[in-house]
Amino acid sequence: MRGRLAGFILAAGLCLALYWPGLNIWFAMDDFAWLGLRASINTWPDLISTLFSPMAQGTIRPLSERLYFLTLEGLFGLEALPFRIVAFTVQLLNIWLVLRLVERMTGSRAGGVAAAMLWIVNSALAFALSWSSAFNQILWPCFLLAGCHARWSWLITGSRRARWAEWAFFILGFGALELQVVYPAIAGAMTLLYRRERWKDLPPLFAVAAVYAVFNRWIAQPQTSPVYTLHWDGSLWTTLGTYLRMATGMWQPDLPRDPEAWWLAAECLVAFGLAAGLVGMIWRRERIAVFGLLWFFATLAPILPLKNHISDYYLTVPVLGLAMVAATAAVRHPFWAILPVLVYGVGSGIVARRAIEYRYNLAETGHALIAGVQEAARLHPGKLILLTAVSSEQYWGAINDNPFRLIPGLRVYLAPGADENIEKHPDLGDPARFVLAGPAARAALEDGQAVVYSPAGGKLRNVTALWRDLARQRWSGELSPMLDAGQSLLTGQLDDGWHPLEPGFRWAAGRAGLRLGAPGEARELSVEAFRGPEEGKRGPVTLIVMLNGAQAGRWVIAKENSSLAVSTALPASLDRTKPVVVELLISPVLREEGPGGRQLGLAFGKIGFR
Amino acid sequence: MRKLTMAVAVMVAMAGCKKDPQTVRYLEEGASQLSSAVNTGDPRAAIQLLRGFHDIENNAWRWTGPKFSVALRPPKVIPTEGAKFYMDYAVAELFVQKIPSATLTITVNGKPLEPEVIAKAGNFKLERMVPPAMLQGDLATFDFALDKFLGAGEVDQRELGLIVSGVGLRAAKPAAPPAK
Repeated sequence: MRGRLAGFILAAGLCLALYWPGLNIWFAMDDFAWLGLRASINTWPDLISTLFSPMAQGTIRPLSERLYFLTLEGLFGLEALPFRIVAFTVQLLNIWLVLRLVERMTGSRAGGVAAAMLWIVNSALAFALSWSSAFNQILWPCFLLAGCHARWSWLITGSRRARWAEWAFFILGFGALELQVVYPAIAGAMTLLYRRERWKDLPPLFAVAAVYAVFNRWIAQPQTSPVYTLHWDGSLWTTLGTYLRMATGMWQPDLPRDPEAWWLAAECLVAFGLAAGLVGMIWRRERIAVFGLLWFFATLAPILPLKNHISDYYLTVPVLGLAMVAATAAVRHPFWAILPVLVYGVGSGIVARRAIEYRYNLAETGHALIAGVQEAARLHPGKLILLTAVSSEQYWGAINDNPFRLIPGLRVYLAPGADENIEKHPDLGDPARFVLAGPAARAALEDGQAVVYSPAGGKLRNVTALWRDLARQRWSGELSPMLDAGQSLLTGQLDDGWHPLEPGFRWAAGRAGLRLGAPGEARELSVEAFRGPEEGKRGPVTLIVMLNGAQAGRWVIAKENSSLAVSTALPASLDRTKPVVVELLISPVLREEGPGGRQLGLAFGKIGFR
Repeated sequence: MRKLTMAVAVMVAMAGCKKDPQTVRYLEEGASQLSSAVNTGDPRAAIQLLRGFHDIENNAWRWTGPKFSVALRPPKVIPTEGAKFYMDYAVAELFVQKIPSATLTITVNGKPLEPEVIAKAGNFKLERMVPPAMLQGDLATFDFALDKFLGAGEVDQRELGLIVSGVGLRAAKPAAPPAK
């Protein structure tokens, strides 16, 4: 028992020592999208829908994404540490499960400890251990390993409790990651290798996995993004080759290495060592070798068709299979294993450490930006905050998923032109949606309603004075091609038919007009409109948008829809070099009760060209 | 379970060993000065790169997009012949392989300067005299537009134009004294 505890402490210590920046890391990228989930929940049906609706590429991961973020954000808000502690706690549990599983399957305690350590040191884990959105890669192996333990108990003892436990872990695993469909293959390998006479309980597992796979493909939205398109062709082999090379923990497609020759030699040594160990073990009919190899291929196979989305993070679970093989071989033949294991430990450990430090710094850059904006909002309450000189890294790491909506009272925009300094990734989002148009920025700065900050070079710097001059020079007298009727800026561009401003929107009567600046290179007209909360008997509402007297769009908002966010291509006949007169025609209208009651068509937010 | 509890306790203690958030300041107030010269490799100079500049590379330069703009402070004293605008830039070999000739148009505060023809790879210094009439006030914005550029996906995901390392405005040197 003491030896086992020492082994666990050794493996857990290695994990914490190598990946400790991942424990203190802040949120990044998709985390901000998941953190916003709570805002969409007002009723119990909302909760059910949030937990089980397909999101992000049609995936349903209620445990590893929805509950994880909903619960921890509910308890701790935007404090990242609890998220990280939960992730690391589950990873420590994984280490324990690996250690015990290999020990149970091979009878070697040292083999179990070695398997856990070889897995931990693989650089593929750096991604999963440094990003809360990748918690699925930590929670899923927990269910896989727990299921394997239960199956092993069932194979050895025939315990019915173990069978029920296996089914429970199997089903729960789907809540962590849809790749759980591969569990029956792993369970099948274990059964056929160690107790083939017990194969009869395998078909139900396969049947459930098949049904889930079909269900998952059916509900997943068809992928329009080339990144997530599945390729069922010869590229599968190329992708497999890439992942095999990455499994050494020392190589990634864009990883700069110096000196390359040394790294390549190290990779070859590790690959040769692993291959030799594997052949030797298969020759001696050591079943763990086949089990480990099947684990690797089974957990990797579902992502091989994603040839445009090769990521080390997908190797988190597969490399555990190779670690089982390598560890057992190393324990059986320590003399031959010492050099490859040492080289792998140092090489992969260096890459892992670099990767986690890179991710830590990236997250800190975003953290500094968001904390700076919060500080600016405290110094300038109620003002718009414009950000200029935002780097691509800062935008894609922190801003794209709009973290500012998570902090009440913040109104943050990119300064005019700031989007043009940011690398384009159309499949991830468009920075232009955060930009405040030049004339609007000028109006806000002139009225003292906005401050401008630059995050270039670390801390946020107040550059308002400079930008006031700039805006005055660049956008004086220009009409904005985009305005927000729900804000006090640019009210001069609103013509007849508008009611006074209300928080976040402005009611238009049945006919309302406004003027927009020349569309220039804009592609479309976009309109945000809302119905009122209590509309009595009013049925569908029709909105017609006229540009310079010609109809550009017509939409109907059904009674059950509270809002409309639409866009339409600009008419070819529109002169893009001149300001445009816009007319909004709404019918039927509501009439407020009482004398002098207002005529209410629709409430509007942003209207303009983009 | 006890082992896991112990490990979690160690982990929490490790996580606690970080900077006190109260000591971290994320903001710098106070006036920012506009400079007459911008080194694009300096992150703090980014506030003057109004649009169209990609992230810093090698701590020294940036790729531009097809349109880019810079804000500069005109020199305090501008001689009658004007101030000299300069831009240190490079044209990538790849650029000229795909685009044998391109034209860079330049405007200062909306008024045009003589365009630059881009036809060779290498390092160049663009220089133009800017008349004092074009440099009224404390701020001059220079807008550049390339008629041809490397589209997104041609070399990498970005639209790429020139490689710019420095941009500036300086009072033109006084004419050399006549030789005796």
